[in-house]
Amino acid sequence: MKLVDQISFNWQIFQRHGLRTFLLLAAVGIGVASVILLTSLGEGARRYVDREFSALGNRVLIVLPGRSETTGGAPPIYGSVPRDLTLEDAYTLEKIPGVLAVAPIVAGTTTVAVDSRSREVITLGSNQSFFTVRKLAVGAGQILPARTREDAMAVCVLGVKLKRELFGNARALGEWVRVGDRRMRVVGVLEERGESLGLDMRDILLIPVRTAEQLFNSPSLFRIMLDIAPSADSDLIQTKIKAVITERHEGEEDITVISQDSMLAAFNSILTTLTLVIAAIASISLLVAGILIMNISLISVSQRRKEIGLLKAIGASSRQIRQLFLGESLLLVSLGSVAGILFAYSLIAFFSSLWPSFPLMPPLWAVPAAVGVAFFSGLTFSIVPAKRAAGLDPVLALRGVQE
Amino acid sequence: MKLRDSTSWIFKALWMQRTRSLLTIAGFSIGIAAMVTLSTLGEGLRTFVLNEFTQFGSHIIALTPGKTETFGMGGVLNTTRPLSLSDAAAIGTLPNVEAVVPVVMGNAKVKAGQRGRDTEIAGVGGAADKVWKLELALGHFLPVDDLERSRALVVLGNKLQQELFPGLNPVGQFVHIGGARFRVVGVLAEKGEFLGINMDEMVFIPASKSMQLFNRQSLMEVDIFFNPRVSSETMAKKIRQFMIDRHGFEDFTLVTQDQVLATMDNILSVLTYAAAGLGAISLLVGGVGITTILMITVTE
Repeated sequence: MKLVDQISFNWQIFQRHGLRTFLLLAAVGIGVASVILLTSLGEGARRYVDREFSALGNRVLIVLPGRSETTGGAPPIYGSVPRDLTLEDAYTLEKIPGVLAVAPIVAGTTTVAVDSRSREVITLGSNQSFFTVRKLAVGAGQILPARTREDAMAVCVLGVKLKRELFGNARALGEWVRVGDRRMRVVGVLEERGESLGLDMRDILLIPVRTAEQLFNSPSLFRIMLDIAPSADSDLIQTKIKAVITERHEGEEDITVISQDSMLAAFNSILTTLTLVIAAIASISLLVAGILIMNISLISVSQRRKEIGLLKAIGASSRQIRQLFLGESLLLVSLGSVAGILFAYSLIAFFSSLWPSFPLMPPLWAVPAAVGVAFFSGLTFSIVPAKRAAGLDPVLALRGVQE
Repeated sequence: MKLRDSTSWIFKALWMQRTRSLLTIAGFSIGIAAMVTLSTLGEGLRTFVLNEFTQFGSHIIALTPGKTETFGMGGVLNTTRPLSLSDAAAIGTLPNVEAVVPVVMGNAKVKAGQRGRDTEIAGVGGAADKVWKLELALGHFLPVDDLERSRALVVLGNKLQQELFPGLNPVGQFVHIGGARFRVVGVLAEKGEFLGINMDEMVFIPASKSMQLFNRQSLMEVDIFFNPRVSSETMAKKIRQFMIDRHGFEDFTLVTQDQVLATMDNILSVLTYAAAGLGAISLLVGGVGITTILMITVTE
């Protein structure tokens, strides 16, 4: 029997039982589609994080004051240590070869006020390099001037939302704002941009690092962000940073260095595991679809006893019969999978057009895995019915005798 | 047709097609099992997290400096609107306030002789053990001193004791933290992790010493424990008014334990529904199966 014959034989059966076939296809299709859709959610989240990080576009190292000896634990987030990480420490790091830019960060919250309007915001004290490292740009005015590297200038750059809250549609550039207990001139407004690494860049205030030291009355840096050359060896630079700071801190290694790569890797592995778990759970529905196929095949075998008997009587071997039934399941599963894939991709296309910012896309392995599980389940559950069909006695079957 | 008749008819019909019924049931039960298991997992996680949060009781209000809605970071960053120890002490005198624990966290090296370990330092008040239900293995907890003039005493976490004083009794010994000398008065019993923070790696010192050590002007948080007979809204209102009177305007944030629980509960419920939804897909496929079988039966 040729393949074409088999397919046309199976096709006849499908036509005869149109509704049944349609429902089976729907079952397999739902299973396959749900695996693809759900994994694409997980993969989308992974890509989103990935893109957030690579929006920085460069290789970034983050230096935190304090060190925790517990491995695998959270890094010291408080930023309070007996020996402060200072601006001088930060600028010494610029001498390490491979380090392109160093952005010291003093962080705090303070009240920004214009006339009677005031707003409590996160305030970052830094210098020009911060804009380079975080790939920030201003929508109006200019970034912090180069002199802010050492001078406590009374200037500031506002986030877009902060500007809107304080000034409305009026012009902010050149105006004075009260920041805590001092006055500063607005030199720039950041360009519109959403959240970046958990910090809402629209609602922050950027001031010179020396000014922040005075404002918060503390020489302690919250973080240092370093931009390193694409060709540089990140591990080597991390070791050098630790050595330089240890030397400056009288032999105490009291900092933690985190690389962007390691943060990204951690996120990646968490989200990949999550995606795999979701895929496994969604595959359960394919198992259920397999059982359904088995059920229908068994019914179909008992309904078509006479037909099978006739086939056997005119010389079809048990093997050929088995092949017919297995082929029927395979054809069902393939059609169902195709329907499921088409359905999933059209839904993905639909959602992508709704939220273009979220990169909804199934991982590479999702489609083969879904189809693979569907085929495995379909085949496994067809073996019993196919065997039963093949084992029928032609004479009894032709007479229509039930065993 | 009576109910009994129809029931017996249904059972007969199902029994006639044993295999068919069995497989349909199998498909459906896998779906149900998946859904039940997943929602149980979700619900279990929810209960676990809520228990973690309520183990200290629900009569807690956290006061943090600065008026931002930034969740959690408020107290950690620098601020131009500090909360002082005298603020904490003053709140302690309010009626119905049972205990006040000022908190300043940091990171430093703890040294004893030749041994040293970088670890988390928690500057707290003497009431912290009762309030956070900390159990001691040796000695006693920090005494309830005047908040602003505390003695240089320290309580070590269990892991710290093992690392710094292996096999020795550390009570009465001295340790150095960031250049200052502290006398060990107690060692905590093993406690394990709490919300990702390893309690055994903690070192507890008085809050005023911690502020000196880390050169901070402000407390990171003040935890206020109040009489359970008073509702948290009433208490929050009282504290808010009291602090506004002290500072002139509202430059702080109050979060009641109830609010935290409600937020957590929301997030975790959504998670549970999502898990149940995942399981429901299998159920949907099982449903399609039943439709198919019914169609066939009807035709027959």
